[in-house]
Amino acid sequence: MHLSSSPSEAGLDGVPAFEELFRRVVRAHADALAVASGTRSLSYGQLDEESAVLARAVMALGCPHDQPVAVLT
Amino acid sequence: MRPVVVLDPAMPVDRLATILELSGATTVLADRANEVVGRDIGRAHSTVLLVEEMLAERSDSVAVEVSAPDPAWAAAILFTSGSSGRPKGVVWSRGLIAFDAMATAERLHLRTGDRVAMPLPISFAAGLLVVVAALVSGASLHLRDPRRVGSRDFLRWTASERATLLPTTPSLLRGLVRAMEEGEVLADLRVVSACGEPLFSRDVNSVRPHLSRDCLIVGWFGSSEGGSLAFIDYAGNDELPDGAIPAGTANLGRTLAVWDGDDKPVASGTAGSVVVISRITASGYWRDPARTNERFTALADGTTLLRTGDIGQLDDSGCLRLLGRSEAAIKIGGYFVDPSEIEAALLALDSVAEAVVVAVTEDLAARLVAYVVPAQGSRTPSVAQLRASIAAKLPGWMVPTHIVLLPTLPRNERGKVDRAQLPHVSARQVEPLLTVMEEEIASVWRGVLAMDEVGRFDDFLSLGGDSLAVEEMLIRVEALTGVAVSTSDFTEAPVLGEFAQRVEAARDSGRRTSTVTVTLRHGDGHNDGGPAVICIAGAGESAIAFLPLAALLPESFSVVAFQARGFEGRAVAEWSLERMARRRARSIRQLQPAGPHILVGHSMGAILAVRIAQLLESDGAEVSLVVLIDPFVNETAVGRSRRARRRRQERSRGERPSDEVGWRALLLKAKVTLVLPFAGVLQFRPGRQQVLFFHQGTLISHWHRPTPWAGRTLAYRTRDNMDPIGVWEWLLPGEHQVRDFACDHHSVVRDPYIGVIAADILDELAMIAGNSASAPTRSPSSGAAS
Repeated sequence: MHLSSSPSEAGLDGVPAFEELFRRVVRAHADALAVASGTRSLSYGQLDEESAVLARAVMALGCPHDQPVAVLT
Repeated sequence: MRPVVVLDPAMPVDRLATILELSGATTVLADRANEVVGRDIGRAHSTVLLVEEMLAERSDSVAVEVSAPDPAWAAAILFTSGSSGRPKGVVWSRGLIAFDAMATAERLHLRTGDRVAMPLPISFAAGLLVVVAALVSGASLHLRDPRRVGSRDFLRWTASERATLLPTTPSLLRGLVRAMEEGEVLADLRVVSACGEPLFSRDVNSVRPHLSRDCLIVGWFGSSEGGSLAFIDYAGNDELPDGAIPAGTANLGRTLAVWDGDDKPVASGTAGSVVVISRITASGYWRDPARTNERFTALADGTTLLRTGDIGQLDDSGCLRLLGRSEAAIKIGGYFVDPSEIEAALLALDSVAEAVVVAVTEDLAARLVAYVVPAQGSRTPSVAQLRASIAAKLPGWMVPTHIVLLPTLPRNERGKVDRAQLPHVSARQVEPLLTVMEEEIASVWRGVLAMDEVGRFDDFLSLGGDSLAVEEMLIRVEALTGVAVSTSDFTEAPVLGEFAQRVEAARDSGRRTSTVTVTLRHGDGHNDGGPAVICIAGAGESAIAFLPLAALLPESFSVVAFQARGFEGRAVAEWSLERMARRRARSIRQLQPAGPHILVGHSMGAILAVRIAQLLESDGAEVSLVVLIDPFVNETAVGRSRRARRRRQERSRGERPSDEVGWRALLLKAKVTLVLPFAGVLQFRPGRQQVLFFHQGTLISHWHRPTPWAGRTLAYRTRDNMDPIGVWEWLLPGEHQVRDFACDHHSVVRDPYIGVIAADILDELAMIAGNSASAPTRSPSSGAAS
C-alpha cells in the first residue's frame, strides 16, 4: 500500500473507504488470524462474516441512520 | 451508517451512563460478560443487544452494501474529559478513520502477519487507531487488558503470543519495565510505540535491555481532535536526546506549525502554540457547535485549522518538540483531564464544601492534587473515602494522586483561590513489590484506598488511610492471609514492605497478640526518657484513631495509645471506668515511671484521662498536660445528678422536663444492652464491634462520677457536644483553654482538626518548658531558707 507522502497531495478523497481497505485484506488473507482475545479468536474471513451479522441486526432495528450505537465489550 | 461509541467496561458505571446519554445512542451492543452493566447504564430508554445471541441467530441474508458512503459521515465518537464537568464527544469521520488507519499503519511499520499485543483501551483515539491500522495491514490483534491482569501476567502473555508489535503509553511502559526481571527479553518485538504523554530518554534506556537490538521504539503524538499527528523512530543504537523525546515529524496529510499570540508563525526554535493545518482532522465535538468553533476553524482552501492547546517548538528539519500545555486541560497517563471535571465530582459529595484540583507538572509529567475543605454539616471524610467516592464516578486516571484536607482554602484579596499558597505535595515513587506477601498486602491496600498502584515504600496513612481504613485493611489482610494481625503490627510498621514482613513473621510464629496498649511510635528520645504522649481512645474506638496525632508530633516524642480491652482479640471487656483508669495508670507507671506525663483522651477516653491523671498525681508522678477531646461530661453521673436537680426544679414549677429521653431511644438502647455482656468475648464484625464498645462505654461513663481536675488542661468541643459550659468549668477549676470545632464528635481526631490540636499541644509544651527554664531554680535549701 502506498500513500502520497506529501501532505498537499494526500487527502480524504484519495483514500478508499475503510470497508474497502478491510475487504482487500479479507480477500487476500481470509484464513489469517485477525483477532484473539481470551480463548476466542477469529480469522479475517470470520471477522468479516460476524461483523456483517452484527451490522445487519443493528440496521434491522430501524433507528435513524445518524443515531450512534454503543459497543460495550 | 451509524457512528459507533466504544464504551470501556473498566470505567465506572456512572460515567458510562453519562457518555451513553450524551451520545444519544439507544442501542447498546454488549457481550454476555457486560450485559448487566449494559442494562444498568442504558436505564429505561435503550435496548441492549447481546452479541452472542445476535451471532447465534444469524441468517444467510444478503451482505451489507452501502451505496457511495460519504467520507464526511460520522463513524465514531470518542469521549474525553470536558471542562464543563461532563465528558465531551469528538467526532471521527469515515474519511479520518480510513486515512489514519493507513497512515498510522505505515508510521508504526505494521506489516501483514505482524502480531500486535494490544493493551490500550479501544474507547480512545490511540487504541481505535491501532485496531483499524492492524486490520488494514493484515496483522493480528491480540487483546489483553493489563489493568485487569497485572503487568507480570501481561508480559508473560506478550512473550507467549510472540507479539511483534506493542503499542503502549509511557506510564504503561514504565509499569511493564518495573515488572520485568533482569535479563528478561521480549525477543519477538519489532516495534514498541508510546503515545499519549511525554516519553523520556530514560524510559527508552530502561526498556532497551529488554528488547532485541533490532527493535524500533516509536514515539507517537496525536490527539482525539487531530488523529495521528507526528511520529519519531529510534533504532536500537540511535543516540537519544537529553530529557524528553521530541514529538517528531508530521504525519502524512498534516502540516504542523507553531504560532505566536497573533496567529503568526514563529521562527524555528522559538516556542509557541502548536496548530495543525490539514484536511484530515476530527469533524468537531458531538452536538456542540460552539465548542467546535472554538477549536476547529475551516480555512478557505478546504483545510481545517486545529488548535491543539500544546506549547512547542519546531526545529529546522520540521521536528516538533513539545514543551507543555497552554490551557487548563492537562494529560495524565496519556488521557486528557480537565481539573474542573474532578472539582465538579468532588463538590457533588455532601461531605465536601470546597475543592480545588491542580495539576503539578514535574519533568513534563503531570499528577493531580486535590485540595478539599470538608463540609461542616456532615462527617468529615477521610482521604481514602474521598478517593473511593471519586473512583466510583470517574475513570482511574482522573482520581487525584494526592488529596489534601484543609480547614479553608487560601484566597487572595479578590477572593480567588490563591494557588501559590496551596501546600506543596511531593511526588511519590512507586517502588516495585518483591515478595508474594507484599503483592497480597498491596492488593488489599489498593482496594481499601481505592488506588491503582501502591509500592513497597508506601505508608498506609500517607496514602490517605484513616483509622477506619486501617481496621478494614487489617480485617481484609486477616481474611486473605489467614494471619491474625494486631494493630501494633501495623502501627509499628505502617510501610507496606515492613508490614508484609510483620505479617509473615506472625504467620510463621502462629502467635496471636491481643493488646490494650498500642505503641504508635517509638520516639527518638525514647531511651533517654524523651517526651511520651499517652493517648486514651474513646469507647468503641481503636487506638489507631490517634495515628494522625502521632504523625503530627515531633519525632522525639513516643506516642502510646490505649484502647478498650477485648477490642482486638478475645478478652472480657472492662465494666468499670474506675477499674480501667487504675489499670491504665499502672501500665503508664511501668512504661514511664516518673513522668512528666502528657495525657490525651477522646470521648470517654477523655473522662478516663482525667481520672488517670488524678491517680498518677496521687501516686507522686508528674502530669504536665491533659488534653480532653470532646468528652460528654454531662453524660456521666455528674450530669445525671445535675439534670435530676434541674428536672425536680422544672417539675416543681409545673413544666415538662426539657430533656426527657423518648421511649424509642430507650428501646434501642435496651436492644444493644442485651448483647453488651458479650462485648469482647464474642468477636463481631468490625462495625458492630465498634457499636458495642461505644454503648458499653456510654454505659460505663453513665455510672462514673468524675471529680474536678485542677491541672493544666486543653479542652476541645465539637458541635455534637451538648454539655452546658458550666459543667466543664466545674470539672476544670485549674488553668485551661476550651476551643470549639464545627465538626462532629468522630471527625475531631482527624485531619484537618487534629492539626490544630497538635499545634496547641506543642505550643503548650513549649510554654511549660519555657516557664520551667526561666523560673528561678528552687533548690530545697533555698526553699527552706525563705
